[in-house]
Amino acid sequence: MSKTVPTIYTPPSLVSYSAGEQILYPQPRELVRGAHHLWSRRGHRVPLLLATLNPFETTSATHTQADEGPGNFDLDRLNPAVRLLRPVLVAGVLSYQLVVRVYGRDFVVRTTIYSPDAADVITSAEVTRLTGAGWGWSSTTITLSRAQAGEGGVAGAAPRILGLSLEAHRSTTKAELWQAWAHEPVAVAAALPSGA
Amino acid sequence: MPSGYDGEDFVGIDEELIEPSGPAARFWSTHLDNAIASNIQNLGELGDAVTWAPITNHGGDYDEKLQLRPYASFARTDFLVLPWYYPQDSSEIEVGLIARVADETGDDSTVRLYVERWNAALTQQLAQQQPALANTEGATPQFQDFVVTLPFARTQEADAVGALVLGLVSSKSASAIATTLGGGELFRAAILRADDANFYEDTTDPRPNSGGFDTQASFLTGGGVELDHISYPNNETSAGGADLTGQLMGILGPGVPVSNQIQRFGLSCLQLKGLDIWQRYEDTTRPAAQVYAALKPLLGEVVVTHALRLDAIYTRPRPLWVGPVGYLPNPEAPEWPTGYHYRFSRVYGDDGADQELLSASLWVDSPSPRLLVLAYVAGLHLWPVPGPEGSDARSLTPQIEWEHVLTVRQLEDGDASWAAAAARGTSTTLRTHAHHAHDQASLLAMSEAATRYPATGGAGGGPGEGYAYKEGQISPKLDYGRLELVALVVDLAGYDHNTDRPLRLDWTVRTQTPADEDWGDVPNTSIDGSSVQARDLDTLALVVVGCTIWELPQ
Repeated sequence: MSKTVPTIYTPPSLVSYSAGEQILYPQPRELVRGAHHLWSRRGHRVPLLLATLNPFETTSATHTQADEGPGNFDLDRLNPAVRLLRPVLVAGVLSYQLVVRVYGRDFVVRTTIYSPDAADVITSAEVTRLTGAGWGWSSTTITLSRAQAGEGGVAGAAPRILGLSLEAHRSTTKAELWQAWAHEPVAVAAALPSGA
Repeated sequence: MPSGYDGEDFVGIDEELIEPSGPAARFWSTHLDNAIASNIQNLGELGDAVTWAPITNHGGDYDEKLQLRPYASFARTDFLVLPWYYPQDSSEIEVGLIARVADETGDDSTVRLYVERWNAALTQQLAQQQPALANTEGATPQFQDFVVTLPFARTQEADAVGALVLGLVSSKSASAIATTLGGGELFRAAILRADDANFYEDTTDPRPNSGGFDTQASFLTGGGVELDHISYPNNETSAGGADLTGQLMGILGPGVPVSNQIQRFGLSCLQLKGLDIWQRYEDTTRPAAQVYAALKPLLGEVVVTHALRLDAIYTRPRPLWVGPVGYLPNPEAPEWPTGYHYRFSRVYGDDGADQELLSASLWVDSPSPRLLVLAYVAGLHLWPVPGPEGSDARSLTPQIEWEHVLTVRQLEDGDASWAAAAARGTSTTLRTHAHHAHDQASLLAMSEAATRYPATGGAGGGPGEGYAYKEGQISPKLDYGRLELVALVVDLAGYDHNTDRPLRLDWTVRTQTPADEDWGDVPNTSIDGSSVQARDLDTLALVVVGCTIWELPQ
C-alpha cells in the first residue's frame, strides 16, 4: 500500500470525464494525487522575523530577546497568534506540526509555544546553525498532540489560539538573524491521515 | 475511511485503489468516488489562515501591559482595515486575538469590538459582529485569547474583493479623573484651551497608565459633548497666558465654545499582542447525496465535478501576509514613549529617491505564482501643519503621480545580506493618487499631521511626549472616504516552490515631479512660523492603513 504526494499540482484532464466514457487510468490518479498535493500544503502561515537593514545580533551565551545590533529589534516585539488547522500522521499518531525556518549564522534559536490564556508553555524547540556552516537556512519542526492544539486542551476540539515567541543565543561567537518564518509543514506521503 | 464521507476528515488514498489492475483498468467505484468527494470537501472547507503579527513588546509574558500601545476611543475607531479577497464559497471569517482589555482607572469595564465585512469601496457594511470583550485585568495572565466568528449572510457566489474591519468603542470610567475645567473653550483646531496648563500636560510615566491622555476622553458636564483626545503639535504662544507650545492634548472634530465645565474620564482600552484570521468556506459544489444513494455507476458528467472542484480550490487566492505590522521610531527622534511603535506605514514625497513603503515576509508554495498586493492607501496633503482656525484656505486636492515598485527576493545559503539575495520578481506601476487636503475633522489627517510634525519643544515636546495618540486608528465616519484601494501584482520566476523557504517582498515608491496643475489651487506659500511651503513634495503623504498579500496560483 502506498500513497503519493506530488510536488506539483497537475490539473486532472477533463476529456474523459466529460465524454460520457468509462473513466480509465490515469485520469483518476491525477485527481487523487492532486488532492494529496493540495492537502500537503494547507495550514497556517506565520510571518516571524524580517530584518530589512541590519540583522538581529546577540553575543549572549544564553537565550535572550535583546538585539545588540543597530537594528534594535528585540525579539520580544514578535508575538504572533496561530491556530493549527491540519493534522498529520507523526509516527502513526495524528498530530499537528509547525516548522520554523531561520536564516542567519552562528545561532541557536528557541521557539516557544504558549497557551496564552494560562501563560503555560506547551512546548519549545531549538534550531541550531553552527559557526562553520556559515550563512544559511536551518529549520526545526515542532509537534503538538491533538489535545495540545485543541481548544481547552481537548483532542478534536476547535483549534486553540497559540502564542509564539523567539529567543536566540550565539552558537560560538555572535548570532545574526535575517529572517524567520513558521508554517504548518509540507506533508509527505507518510503523513497523510489513514482515517483509522 | 470515514463512514460518512462527510468531508470532516481528509484521508490519504492508496495508489493501489486507483490502479487496481493495470493501466487499462476501469477504476471507478462508489467507495472511491465518495472518498474523493469527501477529501475535496475537506480541502475546500478547511480554509486558509494567516497571522497578523504587529510589532509589540514583552513577548511571551502575557501579564505585562507596559510599552504596548493601547487602542481606545469613545467614538468608534478602527485599528485594522484590510482589503480582503473573498473567493467563491467563502462563508465566514474567524478572528482570533491575544489581547488585554483594561481600564487604567480601575473600573472593570469592557471594550466593544467590531468585526465587520464591507464592500471594497467601504460604502456598505455586509456583515457585522460586535461582542463586548470582558475586562481581563483580573485574569491570570491579563492577556487572554478571544475568538470572534463573522458569518456571512450568504455564501460567496463569485470571487470579490472587499474589506475586513476590526474596530472598537471604549467604555467610560465611572468617575472623572480630572477636576473640572471651567470656562474652557473648545477650539476648532482641536486645542482644548484654558488657563490650567496642567490640563494639557500629559504624564511621562510608563504607558499605558491612569494619567495618560491617550486612554481618556473629555466630556461636558451638562452632557451632549463627548470628545476623543488626539495629540496636537502647537507652535504658538497661548493667548490664555499658559505656555501652550509643544505637544498638546487636543480633541477630535470641530469644537464649540462652551460655558459648562469639562471633565476627563478614563476609557477602557484594548492592547493587542497578536491576531490570526481564518477564512472558511462552505462547499456548495459537492454532488448531491442522492447521486450516491443507489450505489449505481456514476456517469462521467457527474464525476467531472471532482476535477472542476479540485481546480477551483487550487486556483483559490491564498492569504500570505497581513500588514502593515508597524515600525520603530527613529532613535534620533525619540518623541514616542519607550517601546511604542508606529502602526501605519507611510512615506512623504521625494522625487529624488525610492522610498520603502513596507516589507513583507512570504511563503509561496506554488510554482511561478502571481502575487497580488491589496492595500488601502490614504493620500494626504499635510499642509499646513495644524494651526489656528482660518489658516487653511485651500479647497482642492492635489493629484500626484507616484511610481510603485514591487520587488521580491530570496535569501539563499551563503548570502551574507539582502544585497546578495536572489531576485524572484519585480513590477513597476504608475498611479495617480489624490492627496486630500488637510482636514481638522479627520482623525487620520490629524494623527498623520501630528506624526509628520511632532513637537520638539515646549511642554509636551520632550522625549516620549510627542507621539500621536491615535496613530494607527481611523474613524469610519470621517476617514473611510480618504481611503483608496490599490491593487498591484508581481509575477514570480526562478522560484523553486519546493525549497520551502520564505521570500521578502518590498514595496517602494517614488514621487513623480508634479506639474503646476497637479497641485490644484494650492498656492506655493508658507504659513506663519513655518518654513514648510504648500508645494513642498514632502507635504505629500502616502499612508498604508491596511495591506494584504495573496498568492494566485497559475
